[in-house]
Amino acid sequence: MMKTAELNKKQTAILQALGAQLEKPGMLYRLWVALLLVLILAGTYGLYRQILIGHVVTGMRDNVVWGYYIANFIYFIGVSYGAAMLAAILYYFKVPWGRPIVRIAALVAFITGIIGPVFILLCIGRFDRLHYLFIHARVQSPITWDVMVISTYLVGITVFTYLLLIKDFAILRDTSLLELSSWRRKLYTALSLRYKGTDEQEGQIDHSTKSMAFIMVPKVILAFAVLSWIFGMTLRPSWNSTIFGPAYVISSVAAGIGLIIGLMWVYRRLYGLEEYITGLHFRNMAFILVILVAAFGYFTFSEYITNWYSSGKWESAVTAKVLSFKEFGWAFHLANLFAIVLPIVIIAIPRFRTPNIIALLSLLLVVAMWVRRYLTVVPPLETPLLPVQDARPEFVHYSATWVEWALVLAGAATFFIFFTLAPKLISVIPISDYDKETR
Amino acid sequence: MKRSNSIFRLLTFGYWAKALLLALLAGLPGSALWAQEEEEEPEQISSRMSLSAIQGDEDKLTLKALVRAKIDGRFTGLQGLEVVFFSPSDTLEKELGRDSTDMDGIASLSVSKSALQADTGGAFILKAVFEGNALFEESDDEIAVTAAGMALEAMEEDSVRTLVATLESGGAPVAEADVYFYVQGAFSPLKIGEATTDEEGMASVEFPAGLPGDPDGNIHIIARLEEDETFGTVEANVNKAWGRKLEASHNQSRALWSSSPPLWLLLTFITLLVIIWGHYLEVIYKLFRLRKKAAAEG
Amino acid sequence: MSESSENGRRDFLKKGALGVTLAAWGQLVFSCSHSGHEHVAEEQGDIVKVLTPDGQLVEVDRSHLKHVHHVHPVTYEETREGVPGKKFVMVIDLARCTNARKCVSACQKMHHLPPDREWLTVKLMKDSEDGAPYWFPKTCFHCDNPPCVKVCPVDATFKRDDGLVLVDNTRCIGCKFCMTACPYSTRVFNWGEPGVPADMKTHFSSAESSIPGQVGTVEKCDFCPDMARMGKLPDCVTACPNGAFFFGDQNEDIVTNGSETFRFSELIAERSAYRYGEDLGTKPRVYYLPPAGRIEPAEKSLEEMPEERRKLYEDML
Repeated sequence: MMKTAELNKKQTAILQALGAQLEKPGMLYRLWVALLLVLILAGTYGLYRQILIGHVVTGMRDNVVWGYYIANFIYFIGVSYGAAMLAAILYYFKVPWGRPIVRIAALVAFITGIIGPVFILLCIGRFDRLHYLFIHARVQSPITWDVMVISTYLVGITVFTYLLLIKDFAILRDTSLLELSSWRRKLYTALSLRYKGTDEQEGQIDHSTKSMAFIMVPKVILAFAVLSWIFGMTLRPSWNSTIFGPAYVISSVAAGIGLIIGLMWVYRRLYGLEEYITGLHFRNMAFILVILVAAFGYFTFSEYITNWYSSGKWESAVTAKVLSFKEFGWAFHLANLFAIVLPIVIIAIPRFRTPNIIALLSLLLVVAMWVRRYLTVVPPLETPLLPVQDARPEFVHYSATWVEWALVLAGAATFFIFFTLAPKLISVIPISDYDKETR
Repeated sequence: MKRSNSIFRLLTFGYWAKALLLALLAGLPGSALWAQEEEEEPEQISSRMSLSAIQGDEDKLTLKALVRAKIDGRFTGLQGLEVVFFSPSDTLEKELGRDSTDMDGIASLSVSKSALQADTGGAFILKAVFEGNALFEESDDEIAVTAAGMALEAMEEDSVRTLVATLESGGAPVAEADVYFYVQGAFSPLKIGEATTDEEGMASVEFPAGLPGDPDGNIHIIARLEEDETFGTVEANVNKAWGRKLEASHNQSRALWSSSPPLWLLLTFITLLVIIWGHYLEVIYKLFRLRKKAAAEG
Repeated sequence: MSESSENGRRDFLKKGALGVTLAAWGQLVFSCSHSGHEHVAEEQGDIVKVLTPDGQLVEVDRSHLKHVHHVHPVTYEETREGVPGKKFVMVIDLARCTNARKCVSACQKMHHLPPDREWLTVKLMKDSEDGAPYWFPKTCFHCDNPPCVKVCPVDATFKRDDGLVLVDNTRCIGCKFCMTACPYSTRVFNWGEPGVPADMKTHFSSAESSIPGQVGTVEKCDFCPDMARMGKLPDCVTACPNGAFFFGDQNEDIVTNGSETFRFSELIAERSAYRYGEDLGTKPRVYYLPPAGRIEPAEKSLEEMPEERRKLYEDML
């Protein structure tokens, strides 16, 4: 008998829970998917308009040349890097409570890693010349670094995620506990690479996964660095700052963890996984989150107080703009409240450390971090060195158009649709990871 | 046909000109547009010509005819007009040649002085004519130029560099003439001095120090009598290696802003890529081997 | 064309320009209050009639009368290397700028730019709170350490041996990184289809002319290298009624505004020239002569402009 076909009690229970995932979707589910599809279609239409007419359909103009797209890009790709880092560390060190989280984290990293780069493409004026990035590549440009790092990273996270799934594919291929349609069986057969669970095979998969996890950490740090250098290498105040990179890393990992917590909560509720995703998981994730946002709060404070205290003209102008309640002040302070202050204050109180509250805090944090990304990109661009003196309001202040909104929402919809459909194919809880339970 | 063509020409200039015309087309019936065209039947614009002559090295004389019109209160050079140059005498007007005005409104022609016939006073009579067209009135200009020659000598004594220009006409020196000295620049000559000729027709200035030249140190020096009533412009040129030698500068070294990257950057870049991709390939290769082995066993 | 006639032509050009400048100075001395209206008229464009070389009667904007860009084809390598032996440099005399905006309109027309894409702008600047405002024409600075070129991922914008920073708009992918990298807000983007006149669409195009513009690409002031190749000054230089722009070759140490010619090194030494944003380390190729002894206070131009436009400069006053 093959190891992949003989399951222990725990594994059997997980498989049965997977049965709930595979149930025929209800009306609400269908409506939800339909809504997401509509959002994606709206985004596609916006993209069609943008390609047809040009970037004039966006709110970007000569001063603010990067807007929602780049904010979304650095948000998603940051979340992806953060989630990948978390997955890699939890896996590599075999953190005991990490088992149900590694898979969700890897999936978040995978899908946001695909969505993110789409947004940088949206910001590029000439789709038809994308291949120039390779055939005319200039090694001096941080964009070239980024193209290489992101494509390298995407391959890495795809291989890593796949390695994490192979054993489960084999179990699903061989199981007799679930009634699976023949296309599923075929798919699982193809994806499981004839894995049978021999010691040699298991050793090899584990070794490969572990080495992918190992190299993931420096690679993600490199990727984070390169992305932050796209901003940092310019002469613009608040971008041209050494703390830009660290602050970006910390906040992105926090946003990634926020998203993972949110997904944990939803899956737990939806598929009755309370036994596997427990309060302990939420608490541990919340503690990591608090450490990260505290560091982010410190970096933010450090950045703005040094800019505020010293009197550099250009720096001060950007800082004043961000802090002013007539400009970005509300967005900035509210974002800090929800992304930094609230998580620290509430999680400090033991009786608030429940999955529901932690999930709610994470949701607020995820949105607030997006606002911080927007504030990273737009205010420095709205504050050029030379006075703007332009009669056209759209050249002075950036405000996104429906096309940008549609595409940003389409990006979010793509994320949600992936996580809506993923449980239809794979178990949220990694079945194979529980093989040592009661052997 | 021509008329509609001109509408399209109009269309092609400027954004808002197009917008204006579109607005016009939308607002007015076709007949009104034609009426508009009729009204614009051009009146001739008077043109003005100024002819000048430059007597250069040896036998050469260059004629320059500037054709201008007063457009909106400012004299503007007219482009693309044909100018005919003549050398009129008592008996016949001999055509010397023709040229179209360039973008500055200048038509020019070089002739050999020996081919020209001087009048009794020893001067060449020269004439340029623009015959006029539908838009611009005809214009012409006539000048009398007495043959003169200038020689320019560059001398160096005890590290003092001197330029000496000698002006003569009909073998006799010309005194009391103001001679300007220039070095030639890419866009305009730079004046380096001026002097008045003495009884021997000689004017001299000291050559300033520190001027850059080409990679061999060469500087193109010009001495010029400018728009003299009798002689027109008379000039002489000399090339002298008196300049600082220009160091051939090639930007295209390895730099952040050049086309080729600094080596350390390139090496770091490639090393990182090789390490990570090498690692990937190993993992992927192992996966393939795993599948192959399992297939062989089962 | 022979060498001496070439010289002669420059001589002529010089004299012509001298006349124009003298006239402009004259106008300035007897300065009439309606000169402000003239600026407006210029920008709206006054149509005059001229004849083209093929004998057709056309109506064009006045400034088209003087130059029509004749671009003579250059090879790709030539556009990359630059005009041999040259090192172009510009000097802008802030004391002479009266915000006449002739440079802007000449530039717009020569490069077939619509009003919403200015390669050359005139800003109102003030160096200190109690200082006096002055007009500040801003071209591309063609920096010797260009932050924009550093970041270009596809070698679309590049620095040439003759000092110019150009954009190859057939290479540009429109990532706009150069626009964020340039601290001087010099670059503009073709957000929509650029309005390119039909007859310019088949115009010989190279990185030296940037005509026709292309949607989704970046462009900017290029110091008119196609003109420089022919030994002609950029259009802003010849258009300025006050001769505020000086252009030339640093290698030969000569700059000229068309009528006056100076040794570059002497001019910048005597007038204490500075480069804008020197502390940024970009090493611009444009030098500014400080606005000391302005021929006209900046307020004069402000007074003459419509209320709405004046509002733009409120921050500076």
